[in-house]
Amino acid sequence: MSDAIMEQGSSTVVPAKRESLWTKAFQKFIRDKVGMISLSVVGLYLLIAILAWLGLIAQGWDELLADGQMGPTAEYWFGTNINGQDIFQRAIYSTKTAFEVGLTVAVVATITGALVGSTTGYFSGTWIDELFLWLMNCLDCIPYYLMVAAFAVALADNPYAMHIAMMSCFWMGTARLVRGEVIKLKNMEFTEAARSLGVPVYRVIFKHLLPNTSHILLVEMTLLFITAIKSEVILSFLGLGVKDSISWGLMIAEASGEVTAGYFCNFFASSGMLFVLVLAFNMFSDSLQDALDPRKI
Amino acid sequence: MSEQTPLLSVENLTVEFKTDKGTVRAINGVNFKVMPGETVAIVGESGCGKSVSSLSIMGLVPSPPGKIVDGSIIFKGRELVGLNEKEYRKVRGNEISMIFQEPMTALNPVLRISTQMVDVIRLHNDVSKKQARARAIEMLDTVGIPSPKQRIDQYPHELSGGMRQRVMIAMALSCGPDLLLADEPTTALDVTIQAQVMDEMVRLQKELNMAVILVTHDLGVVAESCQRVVVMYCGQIIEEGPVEAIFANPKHPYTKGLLESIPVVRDKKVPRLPTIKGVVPDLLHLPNGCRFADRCDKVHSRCHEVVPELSGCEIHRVACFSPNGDVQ
Repeated sequence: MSDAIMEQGSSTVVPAKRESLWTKAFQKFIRDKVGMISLSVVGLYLLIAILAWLGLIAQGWDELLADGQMGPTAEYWFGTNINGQDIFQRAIYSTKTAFEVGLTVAVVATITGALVGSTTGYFSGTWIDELFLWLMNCLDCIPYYLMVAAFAVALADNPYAMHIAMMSCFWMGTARLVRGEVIKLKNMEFTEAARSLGVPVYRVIFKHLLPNTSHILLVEMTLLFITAIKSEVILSFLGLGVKDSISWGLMIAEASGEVTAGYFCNFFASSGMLFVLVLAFNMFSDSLQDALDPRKI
Repeated sequence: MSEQTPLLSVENLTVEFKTDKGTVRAINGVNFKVMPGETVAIVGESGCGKSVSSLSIMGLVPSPPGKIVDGSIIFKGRELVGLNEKEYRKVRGNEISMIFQEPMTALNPVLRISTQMVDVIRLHNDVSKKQARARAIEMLDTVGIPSPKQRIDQYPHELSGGMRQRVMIAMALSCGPDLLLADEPTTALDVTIQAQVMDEMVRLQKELNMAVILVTHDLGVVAESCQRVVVMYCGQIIEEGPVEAIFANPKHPYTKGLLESIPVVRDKKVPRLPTIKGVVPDLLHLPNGCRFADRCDKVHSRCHEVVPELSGCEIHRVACFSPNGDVQ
């Protein structure tokens, strides 16, 4: 009814408060209790990671402070490991390692996936698309852990070999998702309309089509973050991951000897930290997905 | 009129699409001219090549699978077929613009109206963001959007269908094109809004002195707002002439059929609405002769053998061997 009035040009009713899709998603998210709780847990982890990164906390993770295999005390909250290092400080400092890997891999892989996915999606049916699909299929054929080992050897024990290996594997999932979405979007009239108004192809892809996939990208990024952290733990456990630093994976590897001897501190501290982070982040990711889903807004 | 140089002249345009089942000629040897400031309607049923014709003029035939295999499109004395992408971009939006059928999907849902309009204006004109914005607001005002200063910062989903189509028109006209291609611009709108949008277009056309090609199957809209009509069937032009002549004295049996199938509500006793019997032939298996022959009630042996040429006097041409019901 109000539309009809506006069409007459007689009324100038314009909603005072402007609601974009993002503000709506944001409002929906802050109403979601599970989402907010998981976000605050993730925020706490992030704070710890930043403080460790700035050198303000847990700098003594590498020092031999006390006797080995002590139980929890007032000074060493989670006790000490076999070498007499403070498990609490080690577990805290590992958060920094995890975030470092998670963030770099998630950001780089998502951006790569978005760029490749949108380009191949737009050019679907041409040789450009064929080429990239072929490349992705080839990369998919290589077993992931073999790839990491290969990168580690090729980069001569570079501490970032693991990061690079993950980045080069993880972008493909995002690329496929974005490609599918872009194929759907490019057949919509606004793409044709943009082209018919003289917008160059690269602008159509990156300014008109890619922003339409931002809800996918954001969720993909959170999922990749978790995947990267879990992979880092597994790789470190296997000895392919973090070098010259500490990670939950290395702590679990240490603990594998200790647990059989009846010392559980190292194991519980590292796997507990990992478990809470992954759980919280997965719940956050779910809530984010719900909030951003345009069909539910 | 014929002494004037045409703004657009399409000559012998042939577009083919490669499909899995074979090559399809979506349009076959199409010829027509558009004079400056004139409104030409292209009418015909779905799949007759209306939209492909307009996309060819824009240089936006999806390729692959589509390809312009023959013919030329001359716009302001310049050949458009084979123009490179960079050159063509300067024509699109700037000299030739297009508006689309679905206002709901023709605007990008995640970008504000301002972003989309300013982008287009700045692509074709060397102006600052502020100037482009001012121009965009002016255009929104011109197409009858109330409080354009507030509306410009909204997202498409906050506007009604009619307003979105107006925004589309504003965007298409923001660089002052000489030719506007309107691909069924009112089909998706309510009847009341249809009339408003059409009136707006006619008014703007006079104001800006631009030519319009109106692609439609709505003959009512054609009668109201166009000067000349091009009737297409199966990728070919079968009749072309001034709107009065076409409506008063249609020569091709298909055009006659189309006009007869418009319901007349004023008659007290509403007779059964006549339809054109049969279906459009498959573009993959076209008949040898006239493409309408199988559905025509005035068909004779020659129609099945030879394709009739578009002929007749300069202003009213028809592609039929027996345009008046008698064998020529």
